[in-house]
Amino acid sequence: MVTLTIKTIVLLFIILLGALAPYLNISKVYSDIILHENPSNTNTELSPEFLSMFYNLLFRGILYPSEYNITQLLNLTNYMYIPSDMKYIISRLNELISKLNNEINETKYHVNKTKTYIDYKAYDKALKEIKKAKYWLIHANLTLFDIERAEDTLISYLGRYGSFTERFYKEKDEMNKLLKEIHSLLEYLLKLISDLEKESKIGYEIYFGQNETYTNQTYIERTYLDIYLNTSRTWIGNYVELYGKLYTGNYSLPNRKIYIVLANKEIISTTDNNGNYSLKIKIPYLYTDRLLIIAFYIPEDGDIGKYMPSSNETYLNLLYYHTKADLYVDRYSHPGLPMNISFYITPWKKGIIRNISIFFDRKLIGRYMISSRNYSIQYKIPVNMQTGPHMISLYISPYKEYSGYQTYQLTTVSFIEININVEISPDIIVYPLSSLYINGSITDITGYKLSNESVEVYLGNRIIKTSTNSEGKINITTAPPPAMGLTNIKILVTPNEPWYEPTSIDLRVTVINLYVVLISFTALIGILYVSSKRILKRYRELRKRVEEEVKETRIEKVTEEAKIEEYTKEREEIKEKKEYKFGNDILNYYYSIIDLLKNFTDPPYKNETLREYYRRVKEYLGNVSKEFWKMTLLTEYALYSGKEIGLNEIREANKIYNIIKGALHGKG
Amino acid sequence: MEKDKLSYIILSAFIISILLIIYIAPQIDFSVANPMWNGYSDAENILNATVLNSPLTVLTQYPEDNSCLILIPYKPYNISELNTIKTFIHDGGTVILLNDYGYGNMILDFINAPVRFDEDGILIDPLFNYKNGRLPKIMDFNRDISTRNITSVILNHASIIDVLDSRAVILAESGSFSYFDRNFNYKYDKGEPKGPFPVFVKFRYGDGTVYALSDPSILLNSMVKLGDNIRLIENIIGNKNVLIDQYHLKMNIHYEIRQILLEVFGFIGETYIFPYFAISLIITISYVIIRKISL
Repeated sequence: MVTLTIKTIVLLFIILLGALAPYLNISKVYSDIILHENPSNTNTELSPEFLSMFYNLLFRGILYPSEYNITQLLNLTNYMYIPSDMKYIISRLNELISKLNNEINETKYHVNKTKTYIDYKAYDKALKEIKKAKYWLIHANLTLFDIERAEDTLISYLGRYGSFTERFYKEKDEMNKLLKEIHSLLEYLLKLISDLEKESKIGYEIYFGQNETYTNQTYIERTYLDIYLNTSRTWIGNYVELYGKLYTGNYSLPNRKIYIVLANKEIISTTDNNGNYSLKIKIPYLYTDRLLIIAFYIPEDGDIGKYMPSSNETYLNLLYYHTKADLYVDRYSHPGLPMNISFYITPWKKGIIRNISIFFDRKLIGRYMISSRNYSIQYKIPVNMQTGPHMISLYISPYKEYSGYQTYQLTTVSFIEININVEISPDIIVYPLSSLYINGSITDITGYKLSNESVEVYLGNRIIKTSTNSEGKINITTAPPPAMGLTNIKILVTPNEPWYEPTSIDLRVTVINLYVVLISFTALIGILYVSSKRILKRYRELRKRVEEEVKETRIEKVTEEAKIEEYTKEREEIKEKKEYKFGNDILNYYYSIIDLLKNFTDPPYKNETLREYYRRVKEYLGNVSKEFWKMTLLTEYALYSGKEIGLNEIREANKIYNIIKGALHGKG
Repeated sequence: MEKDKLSYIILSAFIISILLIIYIAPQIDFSVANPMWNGYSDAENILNATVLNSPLTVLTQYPEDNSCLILIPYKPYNISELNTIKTFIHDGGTVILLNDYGYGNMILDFINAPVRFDEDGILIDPLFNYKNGRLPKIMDFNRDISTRNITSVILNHASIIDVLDSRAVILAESGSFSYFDRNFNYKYDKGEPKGPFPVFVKFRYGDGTVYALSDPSILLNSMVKLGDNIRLIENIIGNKNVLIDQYHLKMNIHYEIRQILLEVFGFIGETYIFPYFAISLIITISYVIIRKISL
């Protein structure tokens, strides 16, 4: 039986486990990859708080495309906690902005090149350049779309979490302005490309023989123009030699003008009798790695309609010093206090002078001509400066073969924290008998004692104004507030210096208001008096009732004893009379069993039925309880059936009696 | 008496457990019988789909040109099934292959498709998403009948699609801010690929078309009404009859036990078994009751 139960429990457990499997995620054992999550229960993980902080940074970086390296800003914010996904978004957005910038620059580059080609009648190449310009413009549009969408999403995220500061909205407006400007630029470029394409097609028709003006001209000869440099790379500001040759498929073209275009400048040369040209040019101070040089031949006078225009280009690698600078600013700065700004410029050559400009949030704070690679200044933070991250930018102007450079760092403008070390004594005050002592000192977080600072103590409706002494201490003795129980006492320090923020603390003191105590005590006594009278009355009533109940119980006990006596008497009478009818025989056996059971429990009570008696004695009978149940049924039959009792029933009763007797003797 | 009580409790718990196992639908992912958040019951109702609960060789019974088969391949296919699918597509059938980490590439390999699912990571978009990056919002759609009037689709722990050649037409891509989280740590780590990634592509095979989407979760009960998820599938289906494969889903323990119990009850419920079972049950119960009363 026990084994079966354990088996059942185990089976039940397995089945229950099966039923609960979906809820216990047991199905996960099939795979270690989470296939999905419940979107209704999942949390929003982009915290608005951090989003707001990030957005602030983002604006700083994005508003000024020349300084858009947000990743650099991000590295500076390591001391702020920014979640990893936020960092990723910032970095990705930065990449997209860089990409957009690059795509716009590429578009502009090809548009400019197209213009140059059109100016010099190289329409075939102009058309090729237009294709490239179009390609970059399409990509720029797509990237801008991504950036705008990112902005919308970020704003909508922020919008879910209530209002933001005016400053935030101001920056948002500036951001929108910038995006509008980029849109206008792209639209302008699109129109320009379209105009140039038309112009190129018309020019191509004229100069490449498909215009009706030249219908009589059956053949326009193609020309070729070579261009070479005496070196593949040079320092900016140096001279290089440029040479080449103009020729057709059959002969060279002497005394023709060759237009050399580099960095939007035009230089004219003429071919000699052999069609060769040669010139020396000074390389301008351009801080790019490669310089494009294009040579053009444009048919003029008699050459128009006879020769096709031609052009060729070459690149010159430029050498210059890449200026770099390490900028250091105080991580934390405070309104009204000077902030240290220093920088270190590389490379540096003795005798050079560099012009540098320093900006605080785009506002120029100083221009300097420096003759040393190390430099440091102090800048006093304006008193009304908004707390939070601010950007310090360093701009170094180019100087001859030294390129320009700009970099920036973040400083967090914050107030210096104030420590109010004030104690109130005693902890428990009795109003109006005791006095309240407020003693302590006011320092800033560095331990500097703040003297002559205004201090206000709020005691309920009462305000006590004082100021700290030269040691930064306050000592106030005053009456306690007329409160009762734990009471807050606010101490507000309003410093005169702008770099400290008004600070307050709440202290707690227990006030025992004597008036309140007296009134309460009086009321309590009154209540006790009234209550005691009522309680006394109820007590008397209760006592009376208890006495009555005790009396009744005694009577019942006497009655019970009389009944037991009566039963014993009756039993004796039966024995004496020996009226052993069959029915009486069965009753005799029953009473005999009751006699046996008297050793274990009381005989049947008044009004107790045979079955009730059976249930009461069942536990003492143990294994023979079933026999006594049969005996009970036989007795009921003998007493209430009205039928004659047979010999079999008497034998059965005798048998039961003997069994029970044997069993109870064993127990006894 | 105490033992009797325990027996009653155990018996009652046993019966309740069996009833719970039977009456609570097993939460099998993507199952049309699962009305919970991870089931497909809503999608089945909306699409009025015919459920295929047997090997896909049954596909031959359905006309290819008027049927659209939705596959959620979480169990491998046998060769005859692959051949049937291949023939189905070749003869003009439309297949919507919804796969993230299942056996989608098995089908694509078999038909030498121009795309493959990249299951070695999870698509995360920390910016354009529904609540968090693991539920990326797809908003870049190329013009197609399937993407008509679609502005956004929300995915849920999706993979991405690698396009192998120009036969494939990219219909939707993830955002520029998305990345493919190779190590499943839900963070961008250096070197992990950055978006946009194709997530929805189509290609022709014979006379038929295959639409591959890198996440079957878009039709979950909890997802189907987000964004334009259901509309995307409806656009593909048009007026065709929808067949939805449920045979290749990954089952769980609850499902297995429930199936066994249903088989047992099915056996008991048979016409020639049930009367005898009922009589035996009545006799047993009567005996127990009479015995109790007689005591």
